[in-house]
Amino acid sequence: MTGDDHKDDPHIRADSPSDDQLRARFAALRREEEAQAPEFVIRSGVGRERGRQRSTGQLIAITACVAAIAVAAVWLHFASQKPEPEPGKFVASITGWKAPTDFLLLTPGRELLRTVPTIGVWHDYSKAPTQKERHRQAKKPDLP
Amino acid sequence: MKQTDFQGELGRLHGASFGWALWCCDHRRDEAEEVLQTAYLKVVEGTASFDGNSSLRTWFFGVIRRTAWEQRRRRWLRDGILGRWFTRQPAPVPAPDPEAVASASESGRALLQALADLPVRQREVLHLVFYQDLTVEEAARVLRISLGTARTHFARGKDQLRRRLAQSEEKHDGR
Repeated sequence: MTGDDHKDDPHIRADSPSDDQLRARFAALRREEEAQAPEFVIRSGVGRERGRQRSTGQLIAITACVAAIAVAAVWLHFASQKPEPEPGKFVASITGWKAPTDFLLLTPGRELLRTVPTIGVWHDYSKAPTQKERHRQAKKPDLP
Repeated sequence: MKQTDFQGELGRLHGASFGWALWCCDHRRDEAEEVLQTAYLKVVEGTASFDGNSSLRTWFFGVIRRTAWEQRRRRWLRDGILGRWFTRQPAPVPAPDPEAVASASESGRALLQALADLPVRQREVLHLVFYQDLTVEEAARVLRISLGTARTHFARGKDQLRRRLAQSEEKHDGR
């Protein structure tokens, strides 16, 4: 890369500083800044102080983590315990359980699909089943 | 290399190292001094070890850059997150040390202001090449980027810098 690259760029003015001029400007700035540089000393105390600060911060962070883990462990311990069933309380078996929405399956005319029609016998399927019939039909066969 | 030789070399590099630390800390002098001290300690205590794959200067500049980045991250965490959490106030935006800017000569001030508007990477490459007299390849090694990327940043940075310097001179002449 040369210092004259920018001369082909129409956006850059002809009197824009070249690489050498830029370098000279940077060098002047460097001289100014290096003059303000502090003396070369390696202060080991700075590190110790910083180390102490860091260790205090680390101690706080570790304590917070341990406390959070302890709280989480206690919470998990209690949350994972299942409630014991009260003595004498009846627990319904899955085979004896009946869904409360089973009555929705008792549609009018379902007998037509379940029975074989007989010639000469009139049966009004459009009638709603009686309470007894409903109970009989709703009763599910026992599982083996 | 013996520890005493090492410290002698670091002493010879001290001015340039301070200049680089200043740039890595956006010209905040106190912060730059702390970064430099921490970098020296890393070398003395052996936390950062020189592998000899590059020049001592390139390697040590990398250590300074990394230390400045760690310090910036720590400050961001402390002031940005914890500070905001406890005080519920926005973190202060780090600004260049006004004393440092004011103490620079007029030409230096114009250069600093023009550079301040450039993206960080372009600024870093320009600094390493023009200010520290490193090659673009060495600058790429310090910044841990590819040579092609460094060249691109260098070329774009130079163009941007020229434009800004020309604009500031135009303004200055117009006054």
